[in-house]
Amino acid sequence: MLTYDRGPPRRPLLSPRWFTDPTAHAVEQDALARHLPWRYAGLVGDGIDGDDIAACGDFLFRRQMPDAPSLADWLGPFTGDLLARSPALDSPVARDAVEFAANWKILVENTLDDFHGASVHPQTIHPAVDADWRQHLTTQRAGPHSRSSWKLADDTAAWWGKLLARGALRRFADQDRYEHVFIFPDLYVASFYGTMVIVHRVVPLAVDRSRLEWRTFLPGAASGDAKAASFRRGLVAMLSASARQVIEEDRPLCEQVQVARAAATGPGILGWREQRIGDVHAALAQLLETE
Amino acid sequence: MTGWALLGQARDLADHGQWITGWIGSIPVLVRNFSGALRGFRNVCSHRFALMLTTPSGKGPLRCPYHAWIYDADGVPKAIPFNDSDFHLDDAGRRALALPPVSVAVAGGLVFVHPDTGADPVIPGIWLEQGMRTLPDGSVISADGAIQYRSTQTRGGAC
Repeated sequence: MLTYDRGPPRRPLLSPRWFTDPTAHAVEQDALARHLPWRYAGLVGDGIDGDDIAACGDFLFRRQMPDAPSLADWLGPFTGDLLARSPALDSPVARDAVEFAANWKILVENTLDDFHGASVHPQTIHPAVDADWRQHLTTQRAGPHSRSSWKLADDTAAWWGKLLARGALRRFADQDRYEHVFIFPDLYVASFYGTMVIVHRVVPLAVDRSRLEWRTFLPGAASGDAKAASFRRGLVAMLSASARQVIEEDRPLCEQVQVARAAATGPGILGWREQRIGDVHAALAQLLETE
Repeated sequence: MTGWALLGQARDLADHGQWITGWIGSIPVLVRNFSGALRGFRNVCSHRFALMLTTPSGKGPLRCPYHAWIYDADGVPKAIPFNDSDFHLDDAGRRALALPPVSVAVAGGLVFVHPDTGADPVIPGIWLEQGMRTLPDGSVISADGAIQYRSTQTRGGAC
């Protein structure tokens, strides 16, 4: 719950070495492989199978611990979010990736920050969502996982409404919102107007290098309407370029955090709209406690 | 590298709002002219640790590009967007997030920085009086004070 009428809790953040030290990175990756109950493995159709794989809709997760809770228990209230979005995953339209000269956690921090739109995405994300975030941004958090849901600006919602009609798009939910579901540690699913779904995965490559991979899904009605199909193809090109632009706007900021973080001497601070970041740090701190 | 290091030319800091940046080893630093006073700080935002000024020199507010925090001459965040809703930082809270200062010295038209606030500011002047062309930080200057090479222009290893 976002409570803007008082100060946010002070959340301890991981020390800089977890962002810069190759040895710490190896320890962290080992802990994530051995002590995390479940980890996102891919989507149905990716050719992933095995006794240790379980599905939540079309999202596949690998069991990493024999005594792991059920997948539904691990995903908690976000089980329903993944199930709801799964029907859209029958319509892949694009995939892309960008490498960052930054630790993977900085990418995660960036995506969980419902706060940097005005300064980093002034022409893209910022005008697309309702300016009255006090009323129209809601966040649900459960352990390390979380969801932000933000009402689209009226103009943006109207634009999507037109696209829906012209492209004969299908919706997984009747909602005029941008939603962002994060499943710890590396999966996040963005959705727009209850139709377009973008599945992101943050891949650590080294302590100071990561790759963000994303796959876009735009479900169309099975109408066989050639005009609508043609319109959808053009729309995909435009939406793919837009998605990449947003990532390219984030990349330099993430890289600037990477180079400076080791020289920070203070504790940092998380505002109300950054509390999801604190949840990730808390989960990692707990995971690394025994290392 | 832990001593004084050559950061740039004083003429690049002649006017209010002008700044220069560089690295003392792995520490990003900046020096800015605040209404005539040269102040130096770590070039790392106190909020979420972004590098703030990203070019070697420029003019404008000491503003972090990530969330637009703006810092004053004491390194205190004086403008925090959405402070009333997201942070609720009062004056004491803001001061607690002040940028760590670095020492600044000007000698022979050159600007030097030192990561420690108690560093003796006369030392760079002594180097120049002794006619040094290759300075202890590895920087190289010519007889007319032009900078041939400065150690602070790129990020170094652990400091």
